[in-house]
Amino acid sequence: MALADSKKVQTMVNICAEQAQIVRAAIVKMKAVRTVYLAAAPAVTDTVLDGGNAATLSSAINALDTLVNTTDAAIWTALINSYVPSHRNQALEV
Amino acid sequence: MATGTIILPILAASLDASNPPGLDYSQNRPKLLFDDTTPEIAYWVFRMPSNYSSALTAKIQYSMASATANEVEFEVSVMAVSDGDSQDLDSDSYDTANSGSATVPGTAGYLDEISISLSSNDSVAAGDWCAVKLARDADDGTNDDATGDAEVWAVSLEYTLE
Repeated sequence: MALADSKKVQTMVNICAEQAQIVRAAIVKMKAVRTVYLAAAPAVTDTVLDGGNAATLSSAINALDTLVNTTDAAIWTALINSYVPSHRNQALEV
Repeated sequence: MATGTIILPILAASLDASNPPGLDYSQNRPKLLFDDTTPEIAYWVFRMPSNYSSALTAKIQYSMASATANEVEFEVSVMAVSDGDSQDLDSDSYDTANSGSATVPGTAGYLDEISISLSSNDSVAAGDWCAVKLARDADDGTNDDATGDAEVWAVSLEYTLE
């Protein structure tokens, strides 16, 4: 017999909530390392950050931060708050 | 009419080899955790008391780990073997499962009780060797739509005395 739709929804919510927390933690870490990087002001010649790529990367981090923590913050936070630990995310096969 | 009770202790349960419920403790009190997606199974065996007459009923006391809405459903199956029956006890011969569902309490952790009349009871009689199988009907899309674990705290059987 088919599983209840509520459980399929919970699997979607749980997995997205887990990944949302990872993304948010990643943004925090990227912003932290950027701060330290800017303070250190290393020479970027002949590295992947040469040619203005450091500024491009910084803008990308900002854009991601804005999207996750401002523009779409409500749904991301709602997902995280709706996480059910005892649901084991098996109602949808991924 | 007087009733008898058979307590099926949580710690006396045999847990299914393939799909066992989790065994956990809260404040040193044991509970079985039944998953919301995979039907998990616990078993008890005992000798039916000599004063058993009829109306075998399962009483399941549970709470939900997190759910505060929708329903949970349990199934109870009975296998009864009398002295002299042609039944190999190494094989299963459970009668049809009896089911019962309830809307879960509005607060996680609050106790609720589901009473299931075991009308399919393998013609159990006093003195029979009995096996009882308890499962959450987790793959019932209609009667079990509460998410997260169901925590079973106590299971007993009641019956009318002879």
